[in-house]
Amino acid sequence: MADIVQELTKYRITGIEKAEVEYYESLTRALDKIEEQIISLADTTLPRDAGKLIELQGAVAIRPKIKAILDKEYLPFADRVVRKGFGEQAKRIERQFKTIGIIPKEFQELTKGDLALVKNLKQQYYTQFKDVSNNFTRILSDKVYQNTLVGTEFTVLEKELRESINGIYANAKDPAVKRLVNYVKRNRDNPALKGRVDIAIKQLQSKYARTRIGENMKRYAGQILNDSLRDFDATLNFNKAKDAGLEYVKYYGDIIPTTRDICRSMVSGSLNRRKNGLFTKDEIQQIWNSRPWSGKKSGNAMIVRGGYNCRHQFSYVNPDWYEEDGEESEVLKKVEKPTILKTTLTTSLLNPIKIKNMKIEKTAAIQKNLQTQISKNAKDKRYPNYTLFGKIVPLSRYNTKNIGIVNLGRMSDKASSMVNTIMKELDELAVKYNVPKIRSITANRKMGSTIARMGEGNLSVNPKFFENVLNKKSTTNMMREDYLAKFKLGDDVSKEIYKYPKRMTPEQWKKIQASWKRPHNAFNYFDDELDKVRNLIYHEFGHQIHQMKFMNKPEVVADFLKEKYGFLPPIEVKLGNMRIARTGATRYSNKNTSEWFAENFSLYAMDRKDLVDPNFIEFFTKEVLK
Amino acid sequence: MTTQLLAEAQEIVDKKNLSVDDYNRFNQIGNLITNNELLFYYGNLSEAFELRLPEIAQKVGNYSFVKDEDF
Repeated sequence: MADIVQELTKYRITGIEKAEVEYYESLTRALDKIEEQIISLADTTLPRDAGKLIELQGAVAIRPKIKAILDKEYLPFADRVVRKGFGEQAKRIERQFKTIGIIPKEFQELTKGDLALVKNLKQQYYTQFKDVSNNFTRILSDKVYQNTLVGTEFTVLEKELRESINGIYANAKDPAVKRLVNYVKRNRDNPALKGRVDIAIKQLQSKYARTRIGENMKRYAGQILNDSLRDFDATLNFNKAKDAGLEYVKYYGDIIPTTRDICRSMVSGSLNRRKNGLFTKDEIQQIWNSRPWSGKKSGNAMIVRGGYNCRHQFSYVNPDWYEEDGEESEVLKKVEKPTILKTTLTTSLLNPIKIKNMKIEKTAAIQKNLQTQISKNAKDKRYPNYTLFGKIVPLSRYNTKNIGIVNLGRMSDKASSMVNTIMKELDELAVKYNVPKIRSITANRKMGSTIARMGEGNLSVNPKFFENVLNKKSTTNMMREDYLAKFKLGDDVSKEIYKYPKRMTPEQWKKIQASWKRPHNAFNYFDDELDKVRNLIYHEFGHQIHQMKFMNKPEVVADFLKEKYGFLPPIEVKLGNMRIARTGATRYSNKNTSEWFAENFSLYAMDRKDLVDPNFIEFFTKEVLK
Repeated sequence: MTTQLLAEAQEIVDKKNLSVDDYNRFNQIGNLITNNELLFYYGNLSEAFELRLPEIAQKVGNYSFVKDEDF
């Protein structure tokens, strides 16, 4: 039996390796096409004067065209990996369990729960591939913009673009470089030529100054390709074994010169706890937790294994299969029937879904469902009340007309589905930060009105914006604002003008626009349509936190009753002492302390802490999380 | 000139003391701006302005000054 497990694990690992070679070739072809098309695009569209790049307008306009090329050539590759590659590996795992045979039949085949998990994993890894595409759309566009800004030679830009896409493997006019690149591309996966390939790479690096370090699309996409196939196998195998009640594992895989010490020790048996080389899952986790090593990934040891590029896999077994006499046990231990995991794709703070995974429902149905929730939320005792002429009425600084009401009006199904999706996350945020959940939602289509707003639990949104988040024609400035998302905290913003002069002419307006370094809003930092809306609504929820946190304290309510409209909630009192000039990642965060708080909160809650003002983190930790 | 209207809207939002007149003028500006780009920035200013409505409500004593039904 032990031999069968070993053979089946080898069968799975070989399947992954074959798929990896096939898809790496496919990735190479896609990136070569991208490289040529982008260079051709830059060559034909970027105006030059004596070979030097001259026009910023053209440099900005090239971004959507770069995105279109990446979407056309790279995303079909990603789609093939997750659809075909993952699908075939799932079948190999099923075949493994069927061949083992000595577990209940219902656990040998892929169940509905397994299929849901497969679907989720496909979506998760597709998103990772897509993130690379989005990042490199930005990186390539930045290269064009920066080179145009300083008026460099086109040839310099060409080299940078080629190396950003293919790194060391970028095409070149020099025949010697071309020959080496082609040799490496052709033989990269041939173990017999590994020594020669390494020499070729070294020559490219030293003699031809080609950098292997740094950001290039091939490196990132190649990494995800390697890890996604192996992590997918590990996750599905782990899940199926859990369902089948298999609690012991054995570690398999080859040892090559670059094998990490942990994997080498596991495979060679030097860490064995039993003669048969089996470990319990807890023992593995203990071993993993007690050692550091380079390239280690955090998470479940059975899934992350040795870390990045790890070629090893666990197989799940029953100790009865490893009797000392080498024979199978006559009477196998009864495997208890476990609960089958039912994995469904729902949004959450931990796993916020993207627009392509969002289910679009009818506005009327959403309104009905949200109404039930909002009616319940409106009764939250943390929303203060007082008695007026014998009647209990809400105590609020804002208009209380809509409390307990959901009015989505003529909102499109898509826009209301976005709100509905994010409302689930807002409920989690409310619990997480101990503030009451939203108590009204109103759609307001008026043209000259705010995009969204929050007044003590009353959320109002403008569907016109939600329905056109990515429509550059409806908001012509969005392209420019999104472009400014290359901003990083620490970049110089001292010359940025965000306060308009009293009499602002169109010429002055243009001058002001030219001074901007940061995008206006935090949602400009996100590419996915749902992420943009999510950020905008999280911003509104930031207002809910500074308006409602600690509002249930008796002394606070007493003060509120006394001051009513003039009352300042505890967090807003503290915010009054903050100095916020130019410290946030958006221009809007300069508006006032409330917007500074909301803008930073939206980035903080969406895990873009690289863009969060450190002063906010200090304030939030000290005053909100205390 | 709509760029000037945007500047005026910002000036209102940045005022230390807000009145019902400011509220009315701010809303009027929203109806006068027709350029989508400027409306976007106005929409942001509008959010900041509406967070300050309690200051006007404090002077009036209630929200009777609000014309927009939803807030």
